[in-house]
Amino acid sequence: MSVHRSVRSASSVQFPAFVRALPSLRFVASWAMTLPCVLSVSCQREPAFSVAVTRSAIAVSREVNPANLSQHVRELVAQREKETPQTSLYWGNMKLRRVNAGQYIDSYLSAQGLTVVHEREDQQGVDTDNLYVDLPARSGSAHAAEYVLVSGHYDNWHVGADDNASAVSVMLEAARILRTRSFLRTIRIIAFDREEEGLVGSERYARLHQTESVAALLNMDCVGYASHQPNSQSAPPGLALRSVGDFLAILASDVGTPAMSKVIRLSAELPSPISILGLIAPGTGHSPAAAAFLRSDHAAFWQQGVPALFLTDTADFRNPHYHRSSDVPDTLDYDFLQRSAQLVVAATAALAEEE
Amino acid sequence: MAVQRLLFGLLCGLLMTGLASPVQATEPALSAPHRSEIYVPAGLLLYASPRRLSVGFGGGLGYRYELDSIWTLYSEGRVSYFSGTAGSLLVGITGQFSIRSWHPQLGMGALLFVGDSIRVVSASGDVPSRAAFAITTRISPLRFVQGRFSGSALSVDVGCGIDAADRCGLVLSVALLDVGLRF
Repeated sequence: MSVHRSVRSASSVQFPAFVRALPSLRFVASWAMTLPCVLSVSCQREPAFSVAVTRSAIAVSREVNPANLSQHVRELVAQREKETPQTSLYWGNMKLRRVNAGQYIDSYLSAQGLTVVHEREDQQGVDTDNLYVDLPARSGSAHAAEYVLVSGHYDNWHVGADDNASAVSVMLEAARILRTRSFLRTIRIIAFDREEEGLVGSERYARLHQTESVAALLNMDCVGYASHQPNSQSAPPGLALRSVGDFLAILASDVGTPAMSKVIRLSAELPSPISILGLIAPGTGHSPAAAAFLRSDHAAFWQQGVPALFLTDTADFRNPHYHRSSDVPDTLDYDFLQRSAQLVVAATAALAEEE
Repeated sequence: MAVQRLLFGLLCGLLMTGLASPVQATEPALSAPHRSEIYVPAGLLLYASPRRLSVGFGGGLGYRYELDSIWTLYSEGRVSYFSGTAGSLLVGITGQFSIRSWHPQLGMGALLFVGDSIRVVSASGDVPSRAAFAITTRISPLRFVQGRFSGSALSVDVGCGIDAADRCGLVLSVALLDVGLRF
């Protein structure tokens, strides 16, 4: 400080304050010079699937038959209409339907020559019946013990065309197509029970199978509704999504980011690509701000650190029929459902085959 | 690799700030008896752009350096929690006028956001990094200085998040309260 005073007294000229401040502006300039360096990290590009894997996945996706998807949706709805609804355990007089849909899934997969496993549990009076089939890995594969899971829930309110017959139809079509091939990894297709009552089925599955190695999970919940009208899409508070509800949202936690990036880039290569919006929840996705991201069966897998992707048409952020009796097959966009199915089949094949 | 580059950038900034100090030491002295100030801000941080959303509450540490009776350089770091854990680093310059102990400030600066946020992946599969910049304006209407102490309420840094090329994001850093010690 004494040095400052001596300099001041030796100077007879008083410059304006701003001019005197100029040397110190180096402080700001020094930070500004670092901007280009730091800006270079503003985006990161994850590696894509290899060319061979991408080509193979595209070829597999061409086998999706839109007539099958439509038939599955209508058949599941018809089965549910015949069923006597059960009063919900947690939601009072909401009527839950699940038994006939499970039987339909079982009979279709069995007819494809697949062995359906029923994983039943009854705890504190809450019974669950998760169904799954395994599509074994190529014999001798070093990754045979790793799983690529494809999932969706089969219980629903009312008849649930979008929520969640749409996803079940994609699962069944994926099983039909992929059963004739073998990959480096084992593919497991799972129909979860009691999702609508607090993700009960998937939490039980995740707990029972937590020692298994899961390379990736593709969980679907509502994948058949789209709207091309302006302002047909809403979003959780603060999140700036597109205003037209014509895209498929893919959600991942931090650990699923590379898989999501690969799947999005794969989707652009498909013959009939679907518009996609990718969202990454921080950490395991369990921060309060991302609570809306945990509304389906992937939640338990995110908690376990599994690279799980959640594919959805965003449900009630778009679909006015969500959890209503009007959620019927005629409200679905079958072109959108077909594109969703093609993406799921291609992504499953690629994730199961990538080294 | 991205984190390494980020840390390198920050290190460059810190080193060059140090290099700037000798130049500052030769400038004329100022009339203010206390030119430096350490302060502790606490409040909320919002970064809402087409590429990310982060909301958090928290606090940190800041440093002000008065160039003269009007201009003040500031830098502050904060950590906030809600949509994950995020940090922000603010540097800038403010101008002020004084009426007794009332010292409202107005200025501009740059904000570096680093940490957790809900990120939106582009159609080409590019993932936004954890770091993002913003250009901000600082408005501190309720800042008071009394002797060695300062206090400010509702100091706002509002600005444009520049992590998306096509649209400006809203960045808001509100210090509900900051208290400082001048020396």
